Amino acid sequence: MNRKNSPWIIGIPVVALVFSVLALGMGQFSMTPKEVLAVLLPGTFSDVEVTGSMNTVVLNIRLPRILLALLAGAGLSVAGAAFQALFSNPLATPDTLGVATGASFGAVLAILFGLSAVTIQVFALAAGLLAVALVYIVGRTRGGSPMIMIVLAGMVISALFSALVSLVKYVADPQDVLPAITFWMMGNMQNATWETLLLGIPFIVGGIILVFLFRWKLNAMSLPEEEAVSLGIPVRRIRVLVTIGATMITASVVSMCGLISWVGLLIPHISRMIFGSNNKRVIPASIGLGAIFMVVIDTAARCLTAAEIPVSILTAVIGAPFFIILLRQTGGIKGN
Amino acid sequence: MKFEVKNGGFRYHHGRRQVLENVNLVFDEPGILSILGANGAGKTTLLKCMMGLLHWTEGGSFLDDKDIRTMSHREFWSQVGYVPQAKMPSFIYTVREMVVLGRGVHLGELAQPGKKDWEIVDRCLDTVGILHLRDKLCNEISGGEYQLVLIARALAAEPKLLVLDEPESNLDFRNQMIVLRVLRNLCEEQKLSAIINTHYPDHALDISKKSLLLMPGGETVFGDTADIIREDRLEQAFGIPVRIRKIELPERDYTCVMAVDR
Repeated sequence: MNRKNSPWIIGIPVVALVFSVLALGMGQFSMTPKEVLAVLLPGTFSDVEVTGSMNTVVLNIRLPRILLALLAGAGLSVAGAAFQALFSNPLATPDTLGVATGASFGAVLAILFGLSAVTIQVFALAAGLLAVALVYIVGRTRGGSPMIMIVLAGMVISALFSALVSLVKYVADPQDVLPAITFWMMGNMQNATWETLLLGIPFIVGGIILVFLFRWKLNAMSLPEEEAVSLGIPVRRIRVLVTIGATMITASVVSMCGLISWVGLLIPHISRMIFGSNNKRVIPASIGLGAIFMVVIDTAARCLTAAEIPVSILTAVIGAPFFIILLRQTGGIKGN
Repeated sequence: MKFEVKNGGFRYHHGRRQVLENVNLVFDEPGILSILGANGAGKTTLLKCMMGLLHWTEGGSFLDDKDIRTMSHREFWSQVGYVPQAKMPSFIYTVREMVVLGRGVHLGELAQPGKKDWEIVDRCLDTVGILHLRDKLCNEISGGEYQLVLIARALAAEPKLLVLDEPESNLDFRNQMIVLRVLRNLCEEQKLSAIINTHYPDHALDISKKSLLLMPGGETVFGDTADIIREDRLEQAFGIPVRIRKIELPERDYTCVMAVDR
């Protein structure tokens, strides 16, 4: 089993690295991969002259943005895969518990008040976590928190926050604030700086690690609750920890780059089509494929046209046909 | 192994109706205990209460004289294997991936199954006779084979007691026989004890030493199968006339239970 997957284990990180280096050179100020490497690793290529503007473009503008794309892609895919397993529902997304809607309310509120980028991020993060806390309070019943109650509570809280987002849009100044909100909601990575990244990375990386540690147990978690209990695993504790991990990821990603739809649904399913349903493989595959997918999408978003295209539009336009082709070829699942 | 229920009673939070009342049983030998009762009499509720998946509102379950409420999940589920009613999960795993989940109770919180676990998985698949299906997807095999996968998953925890919820329901004639044969062999060869829920009094007579019959109103009777699966008791439990007849066949003797419509 491992031997068959080893080309992937090496291949996916290599592809992610190569694509990242290529993406660093692409854009209005274009550079060859060799020039990019000369900037990244000073002194390795003595024949390349590194100018100050090359340094600025690569290190201060593109590198944080590409790191954000890698992390956002990996994170949203892992969060989607985790929720799909927890809710035994192939249609669950990172936003199932209302995290993303909650986070976007926090962000648009901060935009409405004209606050700085970092403050927008903090508002989004806080509101996203608040939304999930509300979901758990609403979904709690006497006997615990049955999954169906949690999912329904997620829908209700999500609807509530989305109404609040509409309210903010309604009162926003249509001249400048409303377009800013709308653009933010469509998702984009252009605001990435080292400052925002440093605030966001711990949540995303921490969340990914948390889900990754429980990857095999997620198989048992995807069974009906009593079956999972009878397999002798601490169902409640794992559910809470994995939910916290996926929530941290989603809230942090949304707080940095707005709503990016589709990735959390698309990538885990592509991973299952290639590697089978075993989460021991689905989770690492989602990390790798999600990162690659997002770098490609984001590079396309900034290079295809002179003006930037919102990422969410591209994830659907590029992702959907790709998904359909795979779905028709594999019939949706793959064995060993 | 000794499994005991003392004065078990159950009612749902809001329910006025007592679902189960004064359940008493002692099961301390290798072999099969069958639980019978009409639809809605509370068979599945009884199984769940016995295993602590639902909580007795009165009385309790005891494993080797220890109240199961005082046992940790790990302690209890490493001794008891549960085979639920076969239902295909939302995500389709391979047979081996499904069976290895049974090893979870013996693995650390973050541990993954290792070589030894996969060997146990193959041994359990061999025990139930489906080793050749090990790399198939669970939706590529028949319903009877999937039931055997779930039994193998329970066996992978190496329990002393198996609890099966209607293992032979929804299966055809032949597959019913295969599942029952596997159960009987397990109990005879590995000295396991098994508690099963069943809709078929014939099966109870055929394979079980002890039986428990759920009566209307939540009462139960427990004892040797021959004392429990009687015409009068079945008539009372199911509310229909019942005849029990022995049939001598060249292979062996069988006992048939028939509902007669006057």
